[in-house]
Amino acid sequence: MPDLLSHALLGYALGTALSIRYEWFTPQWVTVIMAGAMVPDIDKVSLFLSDPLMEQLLAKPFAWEVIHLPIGSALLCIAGAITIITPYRRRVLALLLLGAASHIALDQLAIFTTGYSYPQLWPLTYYHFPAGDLYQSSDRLPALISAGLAIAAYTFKNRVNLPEKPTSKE
Amino acid sequence: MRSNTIRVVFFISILFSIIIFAVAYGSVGHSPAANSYANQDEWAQTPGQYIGEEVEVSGIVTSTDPYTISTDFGIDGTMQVTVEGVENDITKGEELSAFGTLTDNRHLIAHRTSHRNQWETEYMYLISALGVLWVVRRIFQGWTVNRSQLGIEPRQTRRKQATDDTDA
Repeated sequence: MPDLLSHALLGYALGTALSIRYEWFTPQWVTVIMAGAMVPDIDKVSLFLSDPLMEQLLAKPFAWEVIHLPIGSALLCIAGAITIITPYRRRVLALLLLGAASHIALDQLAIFTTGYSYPQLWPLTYYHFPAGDLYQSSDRLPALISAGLAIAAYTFKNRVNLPEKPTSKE
Repeated sequence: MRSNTIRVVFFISILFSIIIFAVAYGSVGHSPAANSYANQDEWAQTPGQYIGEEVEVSGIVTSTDPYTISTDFGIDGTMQVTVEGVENDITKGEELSAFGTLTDNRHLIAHRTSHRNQWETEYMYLISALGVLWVVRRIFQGWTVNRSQLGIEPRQTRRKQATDDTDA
């Protein structure tokens, strides 16, 4: 799983690409995809409230990692969308889910110690998928590549829109 | 308003259901057939049950001959684990992750290892924090709380907008 900046940059690139296609897709909506791209890593709260600590507090087994699975991320995205007022709620939900999906897809390509990633389809199956094994989470290259994609999307968007912007009012 | 009450109840229910799912997921045992293996939080306290099985462990290298890593497990446990089958260029102080067969309480023969310097982990946390701050800043720039409707909505115009073209 790369650093969160790589995920944010990928979300930015995705959102900016969508903003080229859809008129209504303003920077606010790009932000929603970027926020969705942060969601699966909310499981990193385990660095502060570890699984063993939660198990001691609840007297039950506990795994924050469920948040990183599609089911946990989807539930968090739904919770986030509920905080939005009615007219925008569905759109926010769709874009949060899209951002979270981009995060999960990118993480799938990382190196995992066992060679296998997460049981993405849990609770349907506990099968852990083979990991892409392409980069370590501390590598710098993912951030460079996603920054490149973000810059490309930004440049393309502004070049495409430029001829339509009035340069002076007469 | 009643619909807002429903929203609040629904919101709390979703958060509660995540806790339930976290408990359910934490209860699933490890199953090599499903490519799922125990990490040190699971095997360190009862290693006898895992001898002969494949497990994973990660920690800081404290010795290179033989390779030994120091690692934490559970709430406050620490241990030293000897790891065999590691490539020779890993140095003391590096972080080592290993996946292999547990042959004794604190001895593992690795099939797969990965390693990195501690500064690389620190870089990862720092740059992740930057990423989060960037997204949080964008949220505050573009969204605001609508108190009367008890919810968040997009701003009519983004805050601190220098020109129409910049949106980073």
